[in-house]
Amino acid sequence: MSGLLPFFMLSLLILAVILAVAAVRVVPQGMEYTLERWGRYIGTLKPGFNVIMPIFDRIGSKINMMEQVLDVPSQEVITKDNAMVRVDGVLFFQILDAAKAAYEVSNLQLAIRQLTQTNIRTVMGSMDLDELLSRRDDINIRLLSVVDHATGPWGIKVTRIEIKDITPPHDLVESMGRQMKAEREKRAQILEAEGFRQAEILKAEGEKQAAILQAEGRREAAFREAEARERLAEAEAQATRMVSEAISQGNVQAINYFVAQKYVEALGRIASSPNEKVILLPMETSGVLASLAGVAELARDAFSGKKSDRV
Amino acid sequence: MESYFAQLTHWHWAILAVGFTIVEVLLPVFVFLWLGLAAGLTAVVKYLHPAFSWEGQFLLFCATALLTIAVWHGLLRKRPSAVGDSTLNRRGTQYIGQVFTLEQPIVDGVGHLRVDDTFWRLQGPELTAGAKVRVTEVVGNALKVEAV
Repeated sequence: MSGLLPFFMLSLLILAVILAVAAVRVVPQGMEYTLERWGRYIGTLKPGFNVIMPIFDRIGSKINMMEQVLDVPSQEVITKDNAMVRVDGVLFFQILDAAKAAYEVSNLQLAIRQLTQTNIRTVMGSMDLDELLSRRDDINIRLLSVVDHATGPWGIKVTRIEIKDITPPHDLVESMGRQMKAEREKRAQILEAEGFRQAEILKAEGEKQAAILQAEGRREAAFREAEARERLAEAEAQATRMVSEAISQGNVQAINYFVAQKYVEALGRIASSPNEKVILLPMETSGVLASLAGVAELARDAFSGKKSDRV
Repeated sequence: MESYFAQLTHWHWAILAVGFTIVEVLLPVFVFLWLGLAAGLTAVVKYLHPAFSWEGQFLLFCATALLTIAVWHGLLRKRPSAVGDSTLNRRGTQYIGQVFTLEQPIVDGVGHLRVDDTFWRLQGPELTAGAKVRVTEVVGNALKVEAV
């Protein structure tokens, strides 16, 4: 009998070691373990040193409490305007309640992924392609709100859903490219026309300015010219007045002398012109002779005057 | 075998204690430390009472191995500050006590709040946008707030 005692003691020692190993549970930071007694959830082990009752208690699930990234696989979505686009995304979530995440849903990641995929289809199906491409922020916020709400009972918080790629079909991309190009070309042409118009306006403006300035110059010139003519006439009048005054005070014959002198000078110029063969004489050549007569009269008067002076 | 166990001295237990400690250092699972401690204690008792029977040594080792774990567990329970009251990995609780400004009103006790570029659902009193709120509690994946 006592021969088996050492074996009993040895097995007792091994049992103690195994119990010790089974009782101590060190949970690393970032994890939480659910604890089950007879298969029923009784609590959650927090990070650090934990002791459980061996045999009765079991660790249920080891839940990662860190924020996790989930790829949303790419899928075909039909938009409101019947365009078929390929969409994929990425989702960030964090487990807030380990027990709910462990027991309220089976295969949490698959559930979140499926939920997100169907909601992407719902949200995007209610939008036009153009909206889809330009309002990603709205899509993200709407998705986040819906998925976060739906996953609340699973004890998780969806912090972010981002649509990564939206790929429209190839021919649509091509026509979108053409549309963009046409849009830019339109803008370029409008700009060009605008420039041309501006240039023409500027040119016309310049021409107008030039014409105005020219007219102004002519006006100014005419004014000055008229002034000059006035001055000239004034001077002539003055001269005439002075001459007539001189005549009225002196002898009337003096004027004849001037006239005769001018006539003869003019005749001389005509005669000495290089075109000698034709000699033009004033129509009233007799006038010259008359002036000669005038000169004779002048002389006679002068001499008679001298005579009378002497007398 | 009985004669072999009868020859156990305090040195055997001391060697076992060191062995457990080595294993603990190599595999930091926080279990072998207690086994090493138990072996060490047994060695000390055997050294002080050389007449201690080998059955007694075995029982003492088994008892102390489990007792030290229980005592340490009890000590940690009594002084939770030793565990640390960290909000690490507890996303919602990090916001408790913080004050935020509402961008959208709280209607029928439900609202939304943009925090760290994500949206949190809010539970709280009817408030208009622009009001300041303080987070008091985390309920599921919603934050409970009160007006400041």
